Amino acid sequence: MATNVAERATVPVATALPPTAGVRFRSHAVTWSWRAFLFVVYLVLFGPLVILMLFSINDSNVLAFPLEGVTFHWYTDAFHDQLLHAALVNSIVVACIVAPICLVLGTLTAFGLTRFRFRARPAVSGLVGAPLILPWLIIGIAALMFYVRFKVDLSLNTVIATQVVCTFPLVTAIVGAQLFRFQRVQEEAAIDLGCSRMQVLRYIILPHIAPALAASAIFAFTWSFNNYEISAFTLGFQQTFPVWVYSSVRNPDHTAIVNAISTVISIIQVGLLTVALLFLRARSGDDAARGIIAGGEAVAASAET
Amino acid sequence: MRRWIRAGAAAIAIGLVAVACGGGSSTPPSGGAHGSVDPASITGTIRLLSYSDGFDPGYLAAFQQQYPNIHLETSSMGSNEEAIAKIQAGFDADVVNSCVDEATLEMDEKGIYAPLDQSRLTNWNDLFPSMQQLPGVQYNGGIYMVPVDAGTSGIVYNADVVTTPPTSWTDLFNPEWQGRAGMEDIAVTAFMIGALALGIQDPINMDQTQIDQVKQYLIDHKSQFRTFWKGDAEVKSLFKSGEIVISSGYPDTAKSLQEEGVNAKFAVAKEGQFLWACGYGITPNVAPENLDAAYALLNYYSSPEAELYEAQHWNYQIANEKTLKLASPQLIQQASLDAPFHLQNAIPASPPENRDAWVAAWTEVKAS
Repeated sequence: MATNVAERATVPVATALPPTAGVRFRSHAVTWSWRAFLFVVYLVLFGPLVILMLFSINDSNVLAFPLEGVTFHWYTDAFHDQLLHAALVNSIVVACIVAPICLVLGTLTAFGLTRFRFRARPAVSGLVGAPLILPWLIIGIAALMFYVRFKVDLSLNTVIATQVVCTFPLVTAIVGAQLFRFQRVQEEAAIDLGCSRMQVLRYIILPHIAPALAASAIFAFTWSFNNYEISAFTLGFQQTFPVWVYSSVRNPDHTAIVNAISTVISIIQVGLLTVALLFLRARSGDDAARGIIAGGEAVAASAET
Repeated sequence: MRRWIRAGAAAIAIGLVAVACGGGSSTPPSGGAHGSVDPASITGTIRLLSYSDGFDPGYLAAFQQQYPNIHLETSSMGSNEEAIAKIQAGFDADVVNSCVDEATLEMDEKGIYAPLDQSRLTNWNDLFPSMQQLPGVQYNGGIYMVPVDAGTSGIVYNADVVTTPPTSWTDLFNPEWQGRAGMEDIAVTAFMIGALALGIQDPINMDQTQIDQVKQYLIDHKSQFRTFWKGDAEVKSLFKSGEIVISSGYPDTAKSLQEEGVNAKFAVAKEGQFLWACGYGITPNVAPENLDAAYALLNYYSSPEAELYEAQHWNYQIANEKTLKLASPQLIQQASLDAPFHLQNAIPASPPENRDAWVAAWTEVKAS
């Protein structure tokens, strides 16, 4: 204890001294190492996207440098491709239905698993989590055999049903993690102050898990929109966007069209996400925005502090 | 058509489905009126499972104009293996696309294709005999698949760098091109090339000892290859960027590269060129009321007009000899449309019986 007191006493003196050359060097080295690391991370994350965008305006269907010139005819081709249009519409429709259903199902399941103790809880948890670890290809084939066995016609409906089964556990995992960190004492305080159960849900719980819900919605939509394996096996005589991409890369001209439409989709996705984050930050502050990116963890952490 | 995409998990899928479902029905399609005169009188709905070029809007525009009362529902496949997995799991289709070098024979054997009525195949007698005899087109004395298009693979090289035109598959293994050669990432193709370069005369029927010999040869020469490419877009990029100067490839690969300013040439290896050929068959599940429409589609695909479209737009070789009368001399030369007259140098890349051993050995080569 005496040593600790002595150390504390020396702290102001030590901080008042100018850092030595060695300390400065180490500090710079750490800073630059982090910057280099971040640069590599950004390069790996966004490099392919930049390449994609570059080749989407390249006047050649060959993906190699040097670029042959600037053209927008791959975009024109993409906008005139009827099969691509149908596939895109199908994917958007499926994702727009899958995401809200998963949000409701996943959130209710998260409540059930985090709020209640019952005998079958471990079994239910395992069952809910199973689609997260089972390969989607296996799920797709199994679902196809199931639908055939029960004479269910393959269509977008079967895609939606199967995707919901595979996606809502993700929502459960994200929202469940947020609920797990939630301090029930806040609920009890609200009830003591006269709130009804619905008011507790509306004014206490929902604001707390809102970033997790937003993150879940984004992930659910993206999972659904990008899903190939399940769609390929449970789709009837229609196409979704990933199925169209997979089946059309055989055609070299389609590679360039895929670049163009992927660029458009990426820009829209990044744009929507940016607007959503800006909107959230304006309304709820930086923590909420960070919470969406971190699936609610940042908010939970800040709540604990 | 080619196998650009190989879903690695397709083999697992096939196994799973085979265990779960067993074989399909083999009831032959029957019934329906023969040879309706008025195309507009043919009605029905056809469920087509095909590579995406099989329902390219431009390719099928004439069909839909000619048969306005046939409704076409289409589903694309990534590979024949995937199609087999889907169909065996219960996916219903009426007309299915397959390639001889992938799984036509397998589809015959598994009952995915039903025997066809030759009298209803209006273009059958106009097909090159060499195409009619391809593995899986005829099976157990019946016709099961109508071949529609084909092509050969050989050696593509950058003539600015490889100044002596290659004549043999061994040229792919020339140390001068170490690290600058390419090869298509398909087990059967890679092992055929390795076997022919080693001097094995009958590569399709290699035993396990020969497979091991080829495997070791490919492992020993792995550093020869910059990469094992998976599609036309990739090999073209590799050539254009200068990463590779010689590779296994297709005539239209060289042609496309020439249009991109690369002095690419195509050469036929003296040991033989590999033949791919694709076509369409009818499944036993087709409803009797849709049978006329299914035959109409098969007859359209094998018509000179449709095959001319394929030659003009995709540089594919054709199966119907009458197409030569419609094609210009320049197109005949450019797309080698008369090639089926002299296919004796071509090796139909039909999957070997011990294909699993080839695939396992190729996996070892890539992992080495």
